[in-house]
Amino acid sequence: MKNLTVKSERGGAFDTRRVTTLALLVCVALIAGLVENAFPPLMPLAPVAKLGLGNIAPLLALIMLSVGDAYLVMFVKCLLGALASGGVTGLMYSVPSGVLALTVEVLLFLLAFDKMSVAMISLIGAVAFNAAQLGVATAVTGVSMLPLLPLMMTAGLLAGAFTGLLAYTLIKQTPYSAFRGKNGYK
Amino acid sequence: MNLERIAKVKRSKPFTVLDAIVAAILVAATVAACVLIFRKPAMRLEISDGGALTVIELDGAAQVVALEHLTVRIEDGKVWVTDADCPDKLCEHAGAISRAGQQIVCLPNAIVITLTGDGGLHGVLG
Repeated sequence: MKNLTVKSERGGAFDTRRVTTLALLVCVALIAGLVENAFPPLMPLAPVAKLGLGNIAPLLALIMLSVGDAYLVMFVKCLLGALASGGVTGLMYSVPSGVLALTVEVLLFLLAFDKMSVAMISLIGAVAFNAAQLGVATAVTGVSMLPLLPLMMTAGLLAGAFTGLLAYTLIKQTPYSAFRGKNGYK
Repeated sequence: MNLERIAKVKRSKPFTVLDAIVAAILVAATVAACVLIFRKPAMRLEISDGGALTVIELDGAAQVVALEHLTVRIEDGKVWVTDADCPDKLCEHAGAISRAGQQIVCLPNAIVITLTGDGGLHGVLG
């Protein structure tokens, strides 16, 4: 009974901790994306390949909140990111790739986590993201982008492992008190 | 906050045995794809400009192909893009390509420049 009362006060869809955490994650993703775009391309042969630091946000939402919130962060990040960069055509690439990558990550997290590390889940998600992006590019331009796949896969392997390790380290090093709140609210 | 999940992640290891296995498979697949795609020398250049396909035989002569949105330059078996009119200029930053299977892509203008080997791109890829 006590738990139920706490839930009705502190839980629910507009729980303050949840809303502020979501806002913070989206914000971090957008800033990471903007900072990243300011740098020259990492790999000269595949200039489209980016570190994708922003992809850390849906992964963190998945760990800290819920599956639904992870999708929410991903969609809002894509939408605001497109508006911020002025290229709404980017949505065509970011949304399908984001949905696929996140779905892969969610499934792996729910089914294989513990046997598979957070870094590896992120890595596979990044490879899926890049593969989906090439798929969309193939559909848009009508030319097979298959020759770019090895490069994009390599980029995904490196970037995914990096962002995954970063997410893992963030969760690992942040004390429980920061997640729980000062008074122990969930 | 999903404290249960956070605790599970905090308890987990940074790398696992399954990681090593999956990573090995992915790296092997990437290497195999690279070998399959990049082993043949480039024979011709295909420029797809919003549906229109131009094929140029690479005979060693230097060429300049001016398109509406960008210019393709061919010299010494190398192909690169100059004078792109898009704001990001990613296709220019891509630099020169010289082997079959390599591509320069201009997403804003839907232009794809592909080097193909013997039998064309689809022959290389099976």
